[in-house]
Amino acid sequence: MAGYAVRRLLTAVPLLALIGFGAFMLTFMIPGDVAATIAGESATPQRIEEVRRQLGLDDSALTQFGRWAGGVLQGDLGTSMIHRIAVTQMIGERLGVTVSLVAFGLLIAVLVGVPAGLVAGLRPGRWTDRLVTVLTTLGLAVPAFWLATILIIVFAINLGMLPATGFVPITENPLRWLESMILPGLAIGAASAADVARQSRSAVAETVGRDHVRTSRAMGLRPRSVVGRHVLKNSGIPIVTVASLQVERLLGAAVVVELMFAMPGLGQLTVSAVRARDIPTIQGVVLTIAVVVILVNLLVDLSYAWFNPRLRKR
Amino acid sequence: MTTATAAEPELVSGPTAGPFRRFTRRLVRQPLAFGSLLVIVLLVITALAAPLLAPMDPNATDLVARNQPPGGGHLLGTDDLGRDLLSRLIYGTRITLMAPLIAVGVGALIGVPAGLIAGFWGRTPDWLLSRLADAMLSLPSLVLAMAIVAARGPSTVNAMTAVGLAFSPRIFRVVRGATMSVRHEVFIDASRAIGCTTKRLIAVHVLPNVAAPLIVQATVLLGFGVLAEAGLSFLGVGVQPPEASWGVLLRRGFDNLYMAPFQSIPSGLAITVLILAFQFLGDGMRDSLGKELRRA
Repeated sequence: MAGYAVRRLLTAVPLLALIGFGAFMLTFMIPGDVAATIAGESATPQRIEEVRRQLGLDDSALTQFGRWAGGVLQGDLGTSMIHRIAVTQMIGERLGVTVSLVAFGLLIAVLVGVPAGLVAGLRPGRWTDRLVTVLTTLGLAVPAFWLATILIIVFAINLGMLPATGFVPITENPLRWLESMILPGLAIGAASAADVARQSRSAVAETVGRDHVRTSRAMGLRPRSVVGRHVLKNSGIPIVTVASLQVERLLGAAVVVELMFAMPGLGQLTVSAVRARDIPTIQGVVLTIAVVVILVNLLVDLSYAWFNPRLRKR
Repeated sequence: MTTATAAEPELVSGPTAGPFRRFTRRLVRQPLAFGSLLVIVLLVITALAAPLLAPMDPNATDLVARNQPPGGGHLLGTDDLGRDLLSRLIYGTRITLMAPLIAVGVGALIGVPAGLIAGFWGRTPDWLLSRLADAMLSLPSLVLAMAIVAARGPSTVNAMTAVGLAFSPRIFRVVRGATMSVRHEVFIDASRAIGCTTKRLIAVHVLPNVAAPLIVQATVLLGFGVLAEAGLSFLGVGVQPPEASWGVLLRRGFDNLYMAPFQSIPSGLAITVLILAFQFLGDGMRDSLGKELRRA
């Protein structure tokens, strides 16, 4: 098991190296004079020179990459061109909001998606199955930002039940935090719930048809233990896989939805950085999100060993 | 959207009917897929005939008639500058349909050659390209696209080229898989034995086998392209005003949400319907591929 974990961990190294190189290359994708572009249209020649020096643009590409990668490895992502603060500090302040929103969305996706998939998959072809199919198809097509708009119209404007803006940190007031998380969580979680439901449905439907499930039923095992012990555990791997794939989707949706609900997370930081062409911040965000996604995939791969003990021996 | 038609024996089509004829025949028999195709064709016509269909100039402002609710002189109401929303929606069809085409085109331009190389030669090129694809896929496409827009500057073409780059690993994987599955067929070895060049081998024997799954994947990605354009434009880093796409309209509506919530409904609904249409069409095409075409 430990050997498996270490080998799996090593596969993340080339991925991170490639993403790091790609993030570094962003500077070279800027058309024209990089320093002039980053400094902005109204910048003085002195400011442009300052930017050039700050970014070390006069050095060779290889020297620049070495310096940048060396900094990244020591946890230094550079300084924001706009805010003049360390990128790591800005990301650190906002990562918690995004991670908690994504976790909330994932929770909704699993709490809604798995039971829905179970209900549909246990009795394929029934009206419940057809209803779940229609809802999942719709859920996957509705953009998160339009769903967020509708949720705001219904629950914040018309019913006045939940706040549309005003994020409250969990440390300040847990109840208000929960209130401020529900609408954005639903908005980003709906598509994921649909995806989880769809995959759970097919995993469950496939398992239900197997011989050992039929045998346990025939031997008079209570339906609850058939579902719990034989169906759910054997459908575990595909369900966990699809749930982990949601992290990437949720992070993408969170970028837009955070902005709509005025949540001070990575999404807001990214959008303002893109508008201001604040490359160091963008590089930091890209690396951070990649690390989160790769880490989740790693944990999921390790969880397979729990679901399927045969994998541990390899 | 599996339907029974996909598995039907070929009794109707004579021995001369080619795989493409059989494919279209099966596709037309699936109501959802065929309906989606009709919706997309109608939208293309709307985009082309926008000046004839739009009741008003989409950019004509009328500051007296701002934020008008639907009805009266304006079927879908007006926005905060008094522009007719129906006309803007009709004109917006143009960029909304063009944008995903740019993205999928760029994605195919990168993904198809890379997939052919990786699938045909295997070994080191395959390992390198696959790791590159893995790396790109560990970022949400929206974030990857935003990073590139940050460097290149916001515009419709830049944003959709960036989305295309984010799509390329998805196309790469499909092409690579399809190429690998024909790579060791006897007819490939036979052609090589009679002296076919590698170039000809790929063009004549591999590409036609890759085409079917590629077209299905491209159709599904068109739907994601609609979503990506809307998302980027919503964030203000995609389509730039005065150009209008449905995503731009949705953003405008969101900015006026408390004043005029109805403005957010038509554009959002239109985006959802278009995404659904590409999804259903892609599913229907996948189901309509016979065994002879469905290799991947």
